[in-house]
Amino acid sequence: MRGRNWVATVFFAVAGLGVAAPCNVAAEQLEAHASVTPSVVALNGQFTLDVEVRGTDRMDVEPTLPDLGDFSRYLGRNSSTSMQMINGVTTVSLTIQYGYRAIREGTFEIGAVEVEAGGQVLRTQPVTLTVSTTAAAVGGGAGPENPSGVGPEDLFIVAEVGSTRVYQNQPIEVSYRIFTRVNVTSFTLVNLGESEGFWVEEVPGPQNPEVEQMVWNGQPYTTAVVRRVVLFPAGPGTKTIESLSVEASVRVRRRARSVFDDFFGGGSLFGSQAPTVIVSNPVEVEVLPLPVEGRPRSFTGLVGRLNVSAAIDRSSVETNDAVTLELIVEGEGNLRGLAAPIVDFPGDFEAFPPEVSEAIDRTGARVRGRKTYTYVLIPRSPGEKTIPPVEMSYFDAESGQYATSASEPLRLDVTGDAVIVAPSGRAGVETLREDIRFIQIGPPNLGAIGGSLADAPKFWVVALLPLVALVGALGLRRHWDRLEDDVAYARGRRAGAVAKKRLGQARRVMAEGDARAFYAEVERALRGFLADKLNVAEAGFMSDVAEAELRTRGVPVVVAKKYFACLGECDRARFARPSSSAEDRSEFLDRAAEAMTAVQEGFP
Amino acid sequence: MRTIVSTVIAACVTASPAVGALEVVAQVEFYQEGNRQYQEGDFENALTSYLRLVEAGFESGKVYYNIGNTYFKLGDVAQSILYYERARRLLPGDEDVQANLDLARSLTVDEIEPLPRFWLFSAVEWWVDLLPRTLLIAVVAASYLVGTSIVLLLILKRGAPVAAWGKRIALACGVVFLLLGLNLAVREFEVGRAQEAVVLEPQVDVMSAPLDDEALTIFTVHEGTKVRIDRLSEEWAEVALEDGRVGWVPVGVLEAI
Repeated sequence: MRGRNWVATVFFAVAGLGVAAPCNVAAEQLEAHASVTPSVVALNGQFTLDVEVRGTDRMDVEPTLPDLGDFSRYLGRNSSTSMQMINGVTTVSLTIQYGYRAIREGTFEIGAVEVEAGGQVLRTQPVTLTVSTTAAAVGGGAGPENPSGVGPEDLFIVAEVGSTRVYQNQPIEVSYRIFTRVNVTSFTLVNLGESEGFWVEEVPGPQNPEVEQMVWNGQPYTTAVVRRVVLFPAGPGTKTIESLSVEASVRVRRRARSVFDDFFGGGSLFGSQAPTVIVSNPVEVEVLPLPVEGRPRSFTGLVGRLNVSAAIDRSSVETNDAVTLELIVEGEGNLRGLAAPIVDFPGDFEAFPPEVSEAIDRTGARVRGRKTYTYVLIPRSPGEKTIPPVEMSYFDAESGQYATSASEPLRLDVTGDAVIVAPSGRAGVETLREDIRFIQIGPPNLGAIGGSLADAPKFWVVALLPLVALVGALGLRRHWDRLEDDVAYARGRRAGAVAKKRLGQARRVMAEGDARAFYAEVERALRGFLADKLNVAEAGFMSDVAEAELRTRGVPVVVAKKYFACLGECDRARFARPSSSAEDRSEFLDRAAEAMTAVQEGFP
Repeated sequence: MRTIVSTVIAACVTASPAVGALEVVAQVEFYQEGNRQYQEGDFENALTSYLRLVEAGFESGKVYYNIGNTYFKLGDVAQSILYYERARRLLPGDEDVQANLDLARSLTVDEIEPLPRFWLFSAVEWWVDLLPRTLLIAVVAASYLVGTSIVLLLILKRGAPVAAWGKRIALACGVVFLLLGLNLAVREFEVGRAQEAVVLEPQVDVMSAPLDDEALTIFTVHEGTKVRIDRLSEEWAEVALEDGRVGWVPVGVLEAI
């Protein structure tokens, strides 16, 4: 783009060398200088970084450039030397031009360039570069740097979007249309603007776009659609259709700035060719998620329209012969991204993966087409078979509803013998379809919700009864141990039983009528009981000692008195003549038993 | 003494609700009716029958399992997962429940990779769910009764010739009782069991705080996903996914297992 200028420079350089080669240039002060042209550049426009060294015509090494990869792409380099002679002073300079294309918007500082020349290291001043889309949108910048002089209203590109509010996977048609009032000789798509989150279906156009005349903002324009795509948004949310950049060559006739410009401008008979980058407007699209409610199981994800039909090539077949099933899916929308339908073949059919062919027609306003799945089926057993309908659901964006298309069920008569396919003798059991296991039908063992084992009284019986039994057993054990170890305790506990036995003996003797023996027996019972209770020897038993002992043990005096009264009576009866009647004896026996009970209870 | 004990036992046994037993019989009929309707393919009515049983306040692993199956057949995967999970609580280790739960889970949107667990926790869980409930109760009760009986005999018949063997058996019973009794306690009284729930709404935004602010959305879960409830307020629940992510959701989108 600035070729002309450096052609002129080279010319001078060559001319200068030819004329003033012998001049002394060694004393020259070395100077390095960097500049960027234009300093304001359109996005995707080209700019040049010029590194100039004055005072020499060669550099020791290639200059070290700062990294510009962030915002630009390197295109190429050019170098030239020039020699100027002013008032007898010769100035030699070397200029290296680096061409770049700006790829990011913003203002950037290009740092110092390090130049080694004549054994010196020189650093240039940093320069700034502004990359702006506005400069581009107005036609490559109409500022002083714009070489074409094409204004923003003269040449621009517009993205025409069919709809900006769509459902996920609903096709959006986008046409990029150039509007021009100047003579565009050619154009190239510089940056296709990869839009994130879209599945792109390119609509092929004619080699040379159809040129129309249109009126825009009251002005007549020549327009042409330069690119047409159909986008399918992959997910919900606000998505941006990125802008498209086009570099157009504009034939302009312009005023010559100098006689050399005119002279070297070249081919100016038809005006000059000026490349201009124009960028379309990015478009925001609101993508709605597909409703979850009412989504059929056979939903394919397609938004548009579908029609499923199925056909087999014959209605009766022998076992082991192949049948072709053709499943045709026709419709509008993202057919290319459509997954293969699930066909529920009868279990005794061998089905091979389908052969898929598609014919997508993108010429109309919508992407429509047809996908054909060809299955080869081999029935293995005879009978009347039915291939169930194939269901495919889609979302109709116009009505905002899900719809399902299903093919007709197909009947097939299979004759012949059943064939057992055993390719290698034995094979694993094949899972034909997955389903949940059957319900439980045994007794349900119902329980209360939130209930636990502790709600059942049985639980407490089982839990506590053994504990109670253990406590009881421990008590019993202790009692037995004491009976064994503690004589006094054992005698005391046994006293009642012994006494009862003796009184029983006395009753027997009483029945025999021996009064003396009776009283002796009762006395033995009374004495023995008391001796056991107090744990003293029965032989050396003293009544008064025993009475005192009883009192210290807390037995009431009255009770003790009665007891000893009984003992006394026995004594008397043994030595006196027993004159009492049988009733007296019986009554005495009762009294003795009563006294014993009283003493027993009197013990603490 | 003996008469008192027998009276207590008699009172306890007869106190078990006779009316409740009759009710259970009536509920079993709902269950059988539901089974019949399910086998006829009438899933809507089968569901109604089963749910009547649950609404009456009864539960059983088999009933929950059948409800899960019915929901699955009706196409409600989230509900079926909820009921399979409930069934699994009552019938841990039941293969049918596990198989159907796995199948239902494979149909949900969220594929969550569970965090690797410390092997000890897995081992404890395996141990807790090892035996079916009835067997567990029987073993615990038997070990308890046999153990206490032997101790009783040892106390009363000291120095019996089989005392050494009796002690060993009693010790074994004690160990079994302690280990399995702890199991039973955990399972019956839900000691140390995390509260879990299933997401029933088709899509739920999980917030970083219990506030209804779109900016706080940290991730989205879909129906059928099982979560652990860590904290619960009246309107919000803090849930943790199996992969360890934590956030808040409105209580209404969940149903506790």
